[in-house]
Amino acid sequence: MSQAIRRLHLGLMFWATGTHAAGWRLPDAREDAAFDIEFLQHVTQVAERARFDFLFLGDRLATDPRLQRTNPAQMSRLEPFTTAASLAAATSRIGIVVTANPTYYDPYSVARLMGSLDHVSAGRASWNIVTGADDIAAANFSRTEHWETGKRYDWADEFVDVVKALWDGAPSVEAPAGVPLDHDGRHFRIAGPLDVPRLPQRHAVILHAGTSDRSRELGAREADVIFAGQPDIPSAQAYYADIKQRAARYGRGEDEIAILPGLTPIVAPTTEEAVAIYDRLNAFLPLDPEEAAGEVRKGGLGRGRRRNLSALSETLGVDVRGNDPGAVVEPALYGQASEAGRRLIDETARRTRRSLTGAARISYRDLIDTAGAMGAIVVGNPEEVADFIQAWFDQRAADGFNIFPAYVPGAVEAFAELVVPVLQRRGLFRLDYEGPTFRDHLGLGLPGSRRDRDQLVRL
Amino acid sequence: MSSTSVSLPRAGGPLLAYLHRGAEPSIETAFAGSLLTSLALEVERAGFDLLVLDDEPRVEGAAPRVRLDPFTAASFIATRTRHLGLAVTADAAYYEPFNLARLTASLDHITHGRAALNLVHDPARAAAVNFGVRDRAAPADPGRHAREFLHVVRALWDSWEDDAFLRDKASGRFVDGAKIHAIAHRGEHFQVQGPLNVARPPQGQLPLVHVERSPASRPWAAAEADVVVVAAGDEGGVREAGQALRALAVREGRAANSPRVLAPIVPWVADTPDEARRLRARVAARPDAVAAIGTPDEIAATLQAWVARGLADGFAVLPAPEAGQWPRFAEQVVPALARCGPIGPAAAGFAPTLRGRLGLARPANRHASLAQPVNG
Repeated sequence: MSQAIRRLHLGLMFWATGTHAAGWRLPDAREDAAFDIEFLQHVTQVAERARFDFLFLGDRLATDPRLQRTNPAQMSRLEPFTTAASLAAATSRIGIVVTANPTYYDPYSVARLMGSLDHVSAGRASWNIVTGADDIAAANFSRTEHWETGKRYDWADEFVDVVKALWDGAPSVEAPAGVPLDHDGRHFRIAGPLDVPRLPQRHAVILHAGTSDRSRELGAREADVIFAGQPDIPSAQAYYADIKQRAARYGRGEDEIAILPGLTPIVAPTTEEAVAIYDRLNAFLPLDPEEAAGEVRKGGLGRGRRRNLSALSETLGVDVRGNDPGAVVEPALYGQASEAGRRLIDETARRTRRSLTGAARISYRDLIDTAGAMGAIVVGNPEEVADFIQAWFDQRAADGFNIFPAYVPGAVEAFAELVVPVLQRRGLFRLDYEGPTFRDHLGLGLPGSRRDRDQLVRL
Repeated sequence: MSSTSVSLPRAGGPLLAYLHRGAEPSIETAFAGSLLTSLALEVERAGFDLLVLDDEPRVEGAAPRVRLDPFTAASFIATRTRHLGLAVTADAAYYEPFNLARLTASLDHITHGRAALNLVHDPARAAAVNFGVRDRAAPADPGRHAREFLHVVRALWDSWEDDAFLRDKASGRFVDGAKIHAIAHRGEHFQVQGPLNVARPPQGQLPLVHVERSPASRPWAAAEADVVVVAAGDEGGVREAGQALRALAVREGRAANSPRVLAPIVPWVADTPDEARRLRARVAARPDAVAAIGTPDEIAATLQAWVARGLADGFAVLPAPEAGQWPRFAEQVVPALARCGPIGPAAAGFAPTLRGRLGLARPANRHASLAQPVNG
């Protein structure tokens, strides 16, 4: 294996009202940015000046007004391909990630949309492959049912294969008429060739996220970047090692696939200010009515994890219903709680700098706030946030992070201005882009064609 | 009222050739952002209302016929221009209506109301070879399929009322759920629940553009289109096509000036009429466009006369396949048009949206009159 210096990779997840459900309610946060393309351009330019690898445009294919409490950014937003092309016109280096769901698209359409984006962006296009978790999306696409996981991945595997083969056969200087595909597979029959010229990157950069076996296989085989969601170092290390091992089975080197967990940094010049922002954001979130035991709902479009003592009791393994949510937690709870419960208490202490026994005490509400948030969160001053990032990076829990700005544009600017310079000073993060394309930022060369690679694997 | 449009040619077409001052771009660099930008800026600076990005998702024959997907091209161009309208072409056979509604609504937001849709259906389904999906039957009647498709897209565009967003920081109410509507479409080809996950487009409903290839599509255009480029090879053909279209439109219950009729022209501009005729004689005539031949003043006078006589509301300009012809049209004919009458950039003014420039009102949302005050 090469001894090239490992460098951190950073992406920016863009949600127009912030990735925190109440991010838009902070006084300086934009609440009306979802359809303001100039604002999206501004945020992307801030990320580009900070030398982020990419801006990430997520997507969903259905909506529900109930999302307004749990996730207003995902209720409605600009479609990602059109958004990406506009961001490409307003920037020159940063990679642009578009989420597109094969379940509800055609391979030829995705191949040409991504190909076109790679042309207008001069080699900065990237496709985040999702297969869709929202069962109600089926009702928007003349389907009677949401396909089960196996069928979605069968379809996606062939879909990705066809897209990459269309890119390989696209018209080029050497073959101006393109190379026909004549694919006749289980799901698709596609003649080709693609009507978009060969891509500047040959293949757009591929992102994928997921924890199921099928999704890990798809990612290990096809993806250049894996977007992960583990909340702590041990679970992230296990995921990281698993993906790299699977990738090795496909003949891929460790440095050919970057694993980037999501991370919400709440950063301010001082620890106290950062904790105050964290507390203020969570104070906006209402609590849900209590439920009888066993009725706790989790996840899903428009639902979200319940924020109440009932859900907290399940996590703790201790029935704490009936307490005043604002009351401080008795120290004895730590001994009674399940392992997951103790992790929740420890995590709460890490974020809030409060404890079960000190002068500043943890409340039930603090625990509810910790449990309700998604993925990894770090609250602190710039050095503390950089320490967190470095620890994950050095311990091979991550090759970098997809940064979740809790509120916009403030959280983007704070990370870019306060944390990125620390990471650069420590030699972890680039001072300037390695080259003009997204593949350059990731240290990836141009890909070989599918046919060549398949032959190599068979050998 | 004025409307001029120009089609975006494929790589190797006359406009891109001009932009390279005669040097053909390599097939792989033909769509560099800088080239697209200069193309679009030339069209915008010339005062055109609309750039039509055509599309047919396949490669025909051995010659390189490559293009960009029109949505990414339009969005990129929109970001580098300020006034130019952008019409994207999409074949209903190769999209899901929910996806197309999102793409078009988003493009209208990104362009601040400069987007238009040219929804087509190819009866021959020539590109279907690139979209073969098992278990998906081809529609028996592509025309009926396209009409239902458009109906769904238009319903989705209206699924959010203009004032659905509350964004009240104090109360935490982000939307008024009573102003977000499922469409619950159950049709012959589509079952779409909705609502869309994009706010209503700035124009409310995007203008529908139609470019005739033959009279066969006229009933569709008369019923649905806001702007129609008629297919005609001479002045008489334009008159006939326009009259036939308007007569059908009146039977559909539409206003007398709907849809707007654009005559397709290939301008051949020279310092003298003889020189213009000589240039024109070098290439074969197109059956689907009228050659406008002469000096800049002559061509401008002809075009003005057509509008004055009610022959057309404007023109779809197809640049002549000859180096130097596009700049002569842009730099000499367009200013002459503006000097002498009702069409051209001065008359168009700077209405902020494409609908405004086309003289089309912003339609009310179909749900607006049903709105009830809601609490909670």
